[in-house]
Amino acid sequence: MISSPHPVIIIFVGALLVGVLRGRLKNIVSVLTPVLGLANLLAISSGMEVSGDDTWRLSVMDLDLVVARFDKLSLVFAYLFHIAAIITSIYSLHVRDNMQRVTGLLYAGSAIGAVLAGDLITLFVFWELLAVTSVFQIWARRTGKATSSGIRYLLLHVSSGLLLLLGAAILYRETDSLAFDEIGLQGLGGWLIFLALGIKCGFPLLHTWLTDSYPEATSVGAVYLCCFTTKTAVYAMARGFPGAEPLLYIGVAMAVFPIFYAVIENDLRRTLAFSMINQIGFMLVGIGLGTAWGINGAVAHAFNDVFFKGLLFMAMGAVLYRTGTMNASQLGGLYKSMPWTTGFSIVGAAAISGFPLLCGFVSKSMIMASTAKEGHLVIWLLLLFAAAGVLKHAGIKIPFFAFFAHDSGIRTREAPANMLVAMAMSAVMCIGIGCFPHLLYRLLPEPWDVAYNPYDTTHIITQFQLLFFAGAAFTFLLLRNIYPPELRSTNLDFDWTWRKGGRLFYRASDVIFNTANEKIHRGVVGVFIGRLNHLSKAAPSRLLVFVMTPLWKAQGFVDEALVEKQRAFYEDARLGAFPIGKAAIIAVILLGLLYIL
Amino acid sequence: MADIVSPPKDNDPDREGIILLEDDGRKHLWDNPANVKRFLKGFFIICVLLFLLDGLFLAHLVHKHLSFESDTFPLEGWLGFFSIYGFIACALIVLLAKQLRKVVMRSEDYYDK
Repeated sequence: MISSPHPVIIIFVGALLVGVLRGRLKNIVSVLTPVLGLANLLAISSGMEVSGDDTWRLSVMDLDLVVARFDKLSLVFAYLFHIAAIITSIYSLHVRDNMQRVTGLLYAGSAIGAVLAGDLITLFVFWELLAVTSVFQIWARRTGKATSSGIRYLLLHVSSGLLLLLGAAILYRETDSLAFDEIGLQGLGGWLIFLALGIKCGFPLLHTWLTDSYPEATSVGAVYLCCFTTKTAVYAMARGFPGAEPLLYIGVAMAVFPIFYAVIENDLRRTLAFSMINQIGFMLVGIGLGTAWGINGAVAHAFNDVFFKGLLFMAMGAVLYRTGTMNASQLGGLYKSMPWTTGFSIVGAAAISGFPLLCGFVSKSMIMASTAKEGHLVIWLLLLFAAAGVLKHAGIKIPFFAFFAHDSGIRTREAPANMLVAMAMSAVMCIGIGCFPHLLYRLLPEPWDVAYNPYDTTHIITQFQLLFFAGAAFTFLLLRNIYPPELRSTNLDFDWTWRKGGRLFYRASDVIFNTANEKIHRGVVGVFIGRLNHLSKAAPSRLLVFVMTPLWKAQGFVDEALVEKQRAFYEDARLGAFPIGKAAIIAVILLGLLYIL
Repeated sequence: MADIVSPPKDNDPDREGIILLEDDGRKHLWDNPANVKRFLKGFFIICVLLFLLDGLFLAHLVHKHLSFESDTFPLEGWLGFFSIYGFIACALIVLLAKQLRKVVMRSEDYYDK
């Protein structure tokens, strides 16, 4: 029997092939790679069921690394990332930029490696690869803004990796184990890793990379970004910190605060980035609860998020690709030119809002139900508030301002066929999971204590009521002209600290260090060196004059004659221009002095 | 009024996909105000019907499953709780966001200055 390769190897080899191949073959390989990877993964997981051993180990320098672990939690994410890689590969088929095609696959492979990692060192390696390969999705835009945004992105993500490594080192010292299982928040190591994951999850105040970089990425890049990085972080959180109480409060904060920003944001992909934070908030609450329903709800929601959020990002990417703008103030009326994209975006929008028969409904409600089951009333009310907000900013705003609203006068063509196929695949996933949730529920990691049924009559009715009345409020405000107009603007966020604060730090450093540098330069080079130079010439000469003066006095030189003698001798000494006789005398005197001393 | 899409100024590879066409003068679904009116009418009728569906619970035709254990949050079982909560939540979000704009809004090129 031929043993299967590590899932990451297939994707990485495929990525290299995509780099060297040209034309149609390149396209075929780029789509076939994740398909092959998925087949391989399915073969591995069915083999696991036979053998019972679910880890692959590798010894490197006395370290026993678990390069792959195939349990239910890692498998569901590995399946997800393979499917996402297939869809994103199809979506990016029209891209001619080789760098983006290759790094896109490497990025997907890194995410797969990270969720399969069974120890903290392997996790760290893929965690950093994830950062490095993903930044090219931003830089590929090749604008000044994208370049600097990518650098800020990389700074935060590399910091996240370093925190992870530091935390792992501390844990290793304390427990003598590198295993990546439940870590918990007991010691410093645990907290550092929590923070490392928090950066990638987009914790409040650490979330700025999301809203900063997603809108700067290419139309394809944002789709890649939304699929992998944050989902890997959610996986790691579910693995390392299930039931960690701070996650409840962090999650609720993340679910609520972005809503307000999303309402006033003009860039529709930045609106989606805020929406991403909001959705991760829901997931973190589920993980924070730590119950079977909570964890399963979080995992299911992460799974579904790739499809509905991916679908929305794909639709917006298509709009950006065709019209060159993402500003709600410049868009509108595109349903006339892009009917298919409009339709798909409506499916994605309805799914994220949680309309029954679509995937958001079957996962978000599980988190809501588990919050209520545990009796967290305030958190439940806030999540319900956030759920109404999702409808507002993602469910209505995205399709409405891009495709309907006032007619912007922009007429264009429908998105390229490959984009439409990718969107259709995501839409099918949204509807399929929504209609047959048990297919997804079967994959979820936690054993059910009580099976969860989303399609309860009460739940369906109340969900429709919530959504329709939230929609009614939007319609009412819009008709009454109370709804704030879309304006071209920048809305201040904690981002300011990095961007203006960073510049302030730069300027302060510039003033303090460069002034100091200049002063020291003037002091050392301008004054001190000159003085030293003078001193090193003058001091021996003066010494000689000092030694010779008693001799001259003995010879009868006084007053002006003596001063003249001293001056002439000093000049000679300084220039080193002595007649041989004088030099001999001086040498004798100095040797004598040396002898005495 | 919509402002005009800025012309390409950089090497953004996405620029090659831009297609801007002339309006062909055809009328579309929502160009007709009557259609918009019809849509809104239908939407509001659905809202009213959904609100009235709570009557099913009141008449005990359908048993209302509460999310919480019986005594934690009785409000949840009241007539129209989810409808009213949804309406107020959405309105509040928009109104608060309008206030937020006063605090955080800057010009588009704020960070470039």
